[in-house]
Amino acid sequence: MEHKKKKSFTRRTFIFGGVQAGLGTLILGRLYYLQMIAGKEYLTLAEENRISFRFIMPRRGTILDRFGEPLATSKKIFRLVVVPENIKNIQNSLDAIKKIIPKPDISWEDIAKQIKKKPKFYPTIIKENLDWKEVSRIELSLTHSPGVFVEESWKRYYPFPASTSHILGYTGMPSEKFIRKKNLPYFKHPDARMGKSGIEKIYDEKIQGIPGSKNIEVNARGRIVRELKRNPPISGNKIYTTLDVRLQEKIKDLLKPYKSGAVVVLDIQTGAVRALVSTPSFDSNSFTLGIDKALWKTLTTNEYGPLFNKAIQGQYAPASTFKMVTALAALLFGIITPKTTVYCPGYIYIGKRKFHCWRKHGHGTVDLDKAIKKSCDVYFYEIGKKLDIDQLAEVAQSLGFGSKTGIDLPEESGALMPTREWKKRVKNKSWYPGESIISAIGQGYILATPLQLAVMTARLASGKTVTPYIVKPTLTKLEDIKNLDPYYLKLIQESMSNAVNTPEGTSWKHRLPWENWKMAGKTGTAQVRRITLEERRMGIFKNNVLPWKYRDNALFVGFAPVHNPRFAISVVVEHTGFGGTYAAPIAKEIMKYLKENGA
Amino acid sequence: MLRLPTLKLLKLFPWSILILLIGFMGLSFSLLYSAGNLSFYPWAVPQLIRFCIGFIFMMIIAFTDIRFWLDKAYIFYIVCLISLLVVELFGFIGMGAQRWIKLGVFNIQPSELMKISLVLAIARYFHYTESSEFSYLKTYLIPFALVLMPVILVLKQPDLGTSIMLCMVSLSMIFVAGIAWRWLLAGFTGLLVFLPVAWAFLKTYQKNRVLTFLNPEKDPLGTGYHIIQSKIALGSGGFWGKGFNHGTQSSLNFLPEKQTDFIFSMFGEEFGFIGTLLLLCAYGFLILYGFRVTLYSRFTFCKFVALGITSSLFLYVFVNISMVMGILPVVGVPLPFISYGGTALTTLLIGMGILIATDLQRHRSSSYS
Repeated sequence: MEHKKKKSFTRRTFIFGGVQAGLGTLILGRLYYLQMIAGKEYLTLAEENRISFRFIMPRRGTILDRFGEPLATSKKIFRLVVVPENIKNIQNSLDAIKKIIPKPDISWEDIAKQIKKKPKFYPTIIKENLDWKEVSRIELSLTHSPGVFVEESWKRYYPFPASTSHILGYTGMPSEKFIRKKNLPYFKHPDARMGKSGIEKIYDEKIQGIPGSKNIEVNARGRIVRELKRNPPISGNKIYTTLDVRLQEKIKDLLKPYKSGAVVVLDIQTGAVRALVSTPSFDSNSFTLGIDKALWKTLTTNEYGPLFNKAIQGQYAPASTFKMVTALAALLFGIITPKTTVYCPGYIYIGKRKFHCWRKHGHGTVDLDKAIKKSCDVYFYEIGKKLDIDQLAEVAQSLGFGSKTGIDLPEESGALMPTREWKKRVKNKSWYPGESIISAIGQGYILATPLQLAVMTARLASGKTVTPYIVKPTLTKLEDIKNLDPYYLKLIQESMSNAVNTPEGTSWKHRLPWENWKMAGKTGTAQVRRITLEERRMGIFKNNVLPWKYRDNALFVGFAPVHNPRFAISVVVEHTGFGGTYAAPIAKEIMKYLKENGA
Repeated sequence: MLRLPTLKLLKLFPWSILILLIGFMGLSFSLLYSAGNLSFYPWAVPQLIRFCIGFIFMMIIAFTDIRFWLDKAYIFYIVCLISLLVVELFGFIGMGAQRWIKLGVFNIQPSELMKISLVLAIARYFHYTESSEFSYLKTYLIPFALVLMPVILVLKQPDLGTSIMLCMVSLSMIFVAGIAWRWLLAGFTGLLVFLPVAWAFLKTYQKNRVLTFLNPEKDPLGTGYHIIQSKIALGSGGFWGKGFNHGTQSSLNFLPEKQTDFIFSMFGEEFGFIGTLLLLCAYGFLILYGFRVTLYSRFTFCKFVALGITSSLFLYVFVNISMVMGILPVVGVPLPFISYGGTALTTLLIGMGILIATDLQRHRSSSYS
């Protein structure tokens, strides 16, 4: 019995040992599979675990003025990001961040939305531009939170926002449409920026740069352990503009007393834009981190249109600044000769309608020179009776009216130079002779941008196809404008000079003090509403008693020096009053600056 | 009671086992040094100290007469059972489970000591069982009761891993004692029926572990993360391994609990298949030694004690390695002699001491039997 029991024990021990051996073999087999057969795949997985790919954003190209003064640069900043991939519970991490940074750049809801929208391994920005206090607080308390990092980045900076924002525009995150079109993953990166308006937009590809990349080793918390490989980014190209930022700033200051205005200064010999200002302005710097909704609302609803670049988008009746065009067309089409005179009693009847000269008691007998320098409306009404609108349009178009000038800025307006065909097409009506009368003094349908007015002035001063540009010229060599008689052009130029440099001219008060550096010019005062008979009888219409938006626009166009013209200027001051009072002094100050700075 | 001269026992002492254990100590030390990012603290040196203290215990136990353990088996068992009750009532809450008793400097985990005392108690019971009674079912009622009491208490802690270990070790002893196959089969069927009921009593984290084990990829950042990262660590080691301290999974912390339950994965990552194969061979050698002692012992108590300890050692190795390879759910069983942690190491070294004592018993005169 004892023996039998022992035998059973031994047998069972062997069975038990066999089971253990079997299980041991199972383990060994599994190990063999994991390490020998599937080893390569697991190695790949291990590498994927530890190696993380990151884009390195290139530095966006600097935009400079003609003297090399930076207008838009990229500054290095620190910012806080979260990478959802490394986070188990996003809400917990966000709550921890909330304690340090109570107010992120965008709302917490928007952050949650972004996190949901983007791929898990893309960082989402919580706050840009951390100060060193915030950085150290984060480093102290969030170092152990996985997926929360402080990163270096670039931030666009505009040193002269009040005078250059309209031209430079601003950058923003690429739109979803753009990302889809480009199909480049790096545009989804929170640092990816594209120009949204202005030079930033139109020269985006040039200043964008090429992103680099790096492979980094990260630990399980997503912290960077070391860099394994780096493929450096290529910075974007520098861009030189034709602007003179000191002049920009000066013009901004000159326009400061007025609520809204625009100025364009052109180099007549090249077409280079020396200055282009529109007031009031927005601040490009406030858009670099995404546009705040409240700010956007105040900007879009502001009565003075700060988002609007009035120099290229504002459409104004050119009023008396258009009289040179009418005169030139009348001369070219033989409606008048330089000697033609007209008697101005202060008004004229055409049919039954009475048209008024701006001077109630008239100018007496005027010839062409007087008509321009004194800005006699009746003289031009007489021309308007005979000059066909299409003839006027033909000359106006050759001087730049009615179509975009082609400046290298987005969103330029072509404004409007009416023709018979235009009226038929758009209004479905024939042209009325009365419309020709008011067109002759630059009112009615005719609209022009301040840039077009500057181009007109430059072309009148040079007789050449001056085409404005701000970075890259479209025409390498300026040509003579066809069908312009240089003699007639000379007469017009002289009359413009007389308007400034003779005591009876409209801008005599704003002439330049130098004999050899005179300015020629023409004022304009554009009605923005029809003056009632009642008002006319009462002899009123004082602008300062009218609501702002019903007051006249003050205009001035001019060039200097009279002999050998170099600069053309157009000034529009919205809703102020006489061009001679409000616009001409600004032009004078600009010309003084240009002369004194030997530009 | 006749005592053999100590000199003779020293000569008979299984030095190869001691050398092997010292080898384990060295491996554990270097792995913990690597796990601590090339630092002796917090793991390597404390564990080394535990090893040294444990070796002293082991050697003392190895040279005691096994009859001492036979005499005190039940007392030892009852003390452990009471300790478990104390833990249940006043225990220190650690790791979400009540496992510890705080005794000044030492924290005792009675469930670990129970592994040894249960083996001793069952062995003692079988030692005094008439050989004719081994074929009756009623013979096994007391061993079942001996198992069930601590298992229920340990399950309540809750510590699934230790409960399973206690069950498996006792079951192996009962099996080898000679329980009829039909009862074994019946018990197995009963267990299958009981399983769904047991499921209802598991804690959420235990259920999660089992569910994760069944499908680790389902929740890669949650509970399945450990198993996936562990398999990646092991697999990426390939044949030769990545080299000492060059395991990316472990040094970059992708591998969780790399100093305790998942130390085998770290070892596998750094030393490859060749390393894991050698380590398995070392365990195999230890287990074979246990079997040899089991078979060569003439003393029934010794046979069962050696068997229980051997099977316990095997279970440690098997459950831990299976767990880190995703064959078994993660139940918190350390890798013997390698994982960081004092209690398991103490238990194992005491177990080894008793195993050696049973080996040496053969050379003592057998006045008992």
